Amino acid sequence: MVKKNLKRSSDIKDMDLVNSTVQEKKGARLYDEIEKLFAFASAEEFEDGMESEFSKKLVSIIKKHGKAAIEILEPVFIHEKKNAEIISEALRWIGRIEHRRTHSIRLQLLAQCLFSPSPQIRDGAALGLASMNDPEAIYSLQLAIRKESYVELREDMKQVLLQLEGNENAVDSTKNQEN
Amino acid sequence: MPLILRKIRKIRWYLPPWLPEHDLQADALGDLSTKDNELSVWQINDDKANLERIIAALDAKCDSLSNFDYAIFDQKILDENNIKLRRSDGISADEEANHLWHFDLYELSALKIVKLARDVLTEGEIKRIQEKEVGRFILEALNIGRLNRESLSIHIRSKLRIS
Repeated sequence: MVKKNLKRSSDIKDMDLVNSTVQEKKGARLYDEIEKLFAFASAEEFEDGMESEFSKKLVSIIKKHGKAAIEILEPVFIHEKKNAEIISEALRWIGRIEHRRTHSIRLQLLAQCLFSPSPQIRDGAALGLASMNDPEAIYSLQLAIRKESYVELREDMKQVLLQLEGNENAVDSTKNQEN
Repeated sequence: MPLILRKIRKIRWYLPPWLPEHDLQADALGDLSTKDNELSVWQINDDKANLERIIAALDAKCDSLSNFDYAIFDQKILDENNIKLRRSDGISADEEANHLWHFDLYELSALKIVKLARDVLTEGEIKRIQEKEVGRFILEALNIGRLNRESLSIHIRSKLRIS
């Protein structure tokens, strides 16, 4: 009996090892896919509201891989290891994706990017948050506004904050009516 | 005198601390990139009565609802820089606006573009309309029949909850 249990336990360990190797391989493949996506994007021209090969692929990767994709993107965006204009474009589309499963992790990523050293990245993050239209971002936006050194960007962030506060008030008044 | 509008990306027109005085980011010139030495612009009435209409018309043509960043400046800047202007049909979702208010700046040289960019930055205005507001302009244009819902992308229809 003890022997049998020991065997089962070593089987489980082997399975865990196999699973983690498979996960690592998948993660490495996804990382490569994202690396390539950013490399190709440098040749593209971006226009507000217009899809690009980059935005289409980015949206598709996030919808397919969910949290795993955002976890790879996060350090790239936060430490600004890529072209700021491409990251800014990515953040706009990350805010636009209609994908409930990744909503909170996308919101978290956008909120973090409000504090990037790059004004382009901060702008992209604010626009992404405006698209998500979620009052959860209010506190981060308030902090970012206080820290923002570019007057114009600060004013644009204030507009997004007003929009989100308006939503929060709308939610509150609906709750009051329900009560 | 009427005003001239050009869709841009506002962030390219900011003045970062490293930028010398009276200069502009090189990236801003990307918003004035020409084809056949021509640049597409929109004419805005001096009372800006057609501004929201043109913003709705341009954004309605996009794949996805988004903010609208633009530069707007007095048409006299074109005269001062000897920049020629001629009427041409625009490509927006509002047919009437395309005929009435779209123009091309033509025979543009590199120096003229740089000078225009400088004057737009110093004498014009760089503005942003947030996505939600743009959505409101589009809905208003649909309600009064200036735009039709078939001209909107699926993403915009979904975002504005238009069936």
